[in-house]
Amino acid sequence: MKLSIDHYSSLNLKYNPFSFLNEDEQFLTIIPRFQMEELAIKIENSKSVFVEFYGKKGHGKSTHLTFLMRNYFPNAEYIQLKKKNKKAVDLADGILAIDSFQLLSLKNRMRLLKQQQKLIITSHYPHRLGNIFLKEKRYLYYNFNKLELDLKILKKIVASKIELAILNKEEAMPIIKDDYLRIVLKKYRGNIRAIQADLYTEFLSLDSKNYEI
Amino acid sequence: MKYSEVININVSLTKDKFYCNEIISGELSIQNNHDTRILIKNILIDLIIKHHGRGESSIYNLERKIISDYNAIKPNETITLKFKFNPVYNITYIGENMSQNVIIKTKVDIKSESEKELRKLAIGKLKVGSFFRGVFKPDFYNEAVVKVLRGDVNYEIQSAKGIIMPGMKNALIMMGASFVILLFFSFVLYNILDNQLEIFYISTTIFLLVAGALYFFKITPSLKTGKIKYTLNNIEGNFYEAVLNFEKRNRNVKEIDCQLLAIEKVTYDNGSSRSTITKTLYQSKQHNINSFGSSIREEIELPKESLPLTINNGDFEVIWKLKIIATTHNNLKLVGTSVIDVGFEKREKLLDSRMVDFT
Repeated sequence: MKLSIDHYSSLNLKYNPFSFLNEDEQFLTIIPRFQMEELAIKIENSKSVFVEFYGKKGHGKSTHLTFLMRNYFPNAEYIQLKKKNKKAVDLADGILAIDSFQLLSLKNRMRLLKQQQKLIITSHYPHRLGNIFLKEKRYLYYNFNKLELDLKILKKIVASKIELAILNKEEAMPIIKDDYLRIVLKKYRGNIRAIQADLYTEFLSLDSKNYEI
Repeated sequence: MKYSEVININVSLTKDKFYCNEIISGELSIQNNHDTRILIKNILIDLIIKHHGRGESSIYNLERKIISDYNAIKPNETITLKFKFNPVYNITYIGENMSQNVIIKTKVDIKSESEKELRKLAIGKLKVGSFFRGVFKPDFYNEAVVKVLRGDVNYEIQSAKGIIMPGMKNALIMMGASFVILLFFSFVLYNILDNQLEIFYISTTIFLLVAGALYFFKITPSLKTGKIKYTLNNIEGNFYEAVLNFEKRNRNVKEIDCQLLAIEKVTYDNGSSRSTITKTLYQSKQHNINSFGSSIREEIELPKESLPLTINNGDFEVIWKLKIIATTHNNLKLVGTSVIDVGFEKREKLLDSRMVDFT
C-alpha cells in the first residue's frame, strides 16, 4: 500500500490523528479520568506520601502522570524510564515522580520507597507490600485496570485527538462510527494504546467504513 | 467560545506545494476575537520538521523568526505579515508507520498581564476544559502544513564507501539461527523424553548437516567471490557512478547487479514492549554490470520519485542501502548490503537572516 502525500489532507487532517503524540500534544488531548486536582492537593498537603498508578500497559498511567506533573508540579523531578534506557534513581528534594518504576532494581525501589519524602510512580503492579512497613507515609493508589473506560469517555478521547490533527477547523472533520468504537472497546477493554494503534491502521485507508466525514 | 478562539491565527501559503529548492513564503494573519486589548510579548514563526507515527513523535526546528514589532492587538484588530523561509530538503512523506511533515508553527506569546486578564474574563464565558487549557498553556498556537516535493532537484549519494562480501552475512545468520533453534528444541525434547542423551547426538548430526550444506552452497561461493570494495560517486544529473573493486579475480561470478533500497523502520510501544516494523519504500531496478575485470565502473540512475532522505530519529528510521547481488555460474544468488547516506543536491540562494514584511 503506497500512501500519497495528500492522503491525510483529503480527510482534512494534518497527520494520522492516532499517531504517537509528543508531551505538548498529549497535554492538549488528555481527558483525565479521575479528579487530578484533588490528588494534587492531597500530595501538596501531605508531609510524606506515596502515590502509585498501576495497571497493565497502555491504560493511560504515564499520560495521567505527565498531566499531573506538568500541571501541578512543573518544578518537581520527573523521570521517565524506558526499557532501553534503564538507570538508577537517586533521592530528590520534595516530590519525585518516576514513570515505569518497575524498571528499577529491587534495591533502588526499596530505597526510594523508604526514604523518598513524596514519591509518585507508575508501575505495572502495585507496591503496597513495600509500603506496608512505612506507617507514617500516606498511601494513595489508582488501579488503572479498573478505571472506567466507556463509550462516552472514549468518544471524547478520540474527538480530542482528531481535533488536534485537523487541517482546517472550518471544514468537516472525520467522525468514527459509534459501532466501531464499541467493537474496539470490547476487543481491547481499557487498553487505550491498543485502541489507538487499531484506529491508526483505520486511518491508513481512505475508504474505511468505520469513519465518515 | 473556546480559549484557543480568543486569538485566531491563520497561515496562507503562496503555493499549494513547494519544491525543495524553493523559498517557502506565505502570509500570517492574527485576529483578536475578544473584546479586550491583548498585550503581546512577541510572535514566533518556526519552520519545523515533525515526525509522527506509530511509536514516536518528534520535532526539529529548522528556522525561526521572532517578531517583536507588535505590543498589542486591539479588539477585532487583525495583524497581517508576510514571511519567507529558506528552502527545506525534507520532503513531505506519508508512510504506513511514520510521516514526515514540514510545518509552520506560530506562537503568539502574550504578556502575563493579559494572561491574568483573560483568565478572569474566561470564568463563566469559556468551556471548562478550554478554560483549564488556557490556564496551563496561555499562549496561542497554530500549525500549518507545508507540502514539500522533490521536484527536479537531484539526489546525491553522500559518504558511500564500503566493503560488501555477498552471501556471507546471510550464511552466518542462517548458521547461527539453526544452531539456536536446534539447541532450543534439543533441551525441550530432552526434558520431555526423560533426559535421553541421544537427542543431543541427533541434534548435533542435524546441525552438522545444515552447517555443511550452508558451507557448500553459501560460504564457499562467497569466499570464492571475495570482498567487493565499492565507492559511489555523484556525477552530473540524477546519476551516480558505482565503482566496484574485486578482491579476487575469479571466474565464479556470472553477473553482478546493483540495487538501491530505502527502508522505513519503526520501533513502537515506547520501548516498553519492543515491536519493530520494516517496510521497503523504494526499490530500484536491478542494474546489471556486465563488464568484468578487477575493477568495474558504471553509471546508474538515481530515483525519480519524491522520497525521504536518510532519517535516524530514535525509533523512526529511513535507511538507504546499496545491495549487490552476485550470481554465480551455478545460478546461486549471493546478496550483500551496505548502508549509505542519501541527500539532495543543494543549489539555492539562501535568504537574509530575517525575511518578514509587515503590511
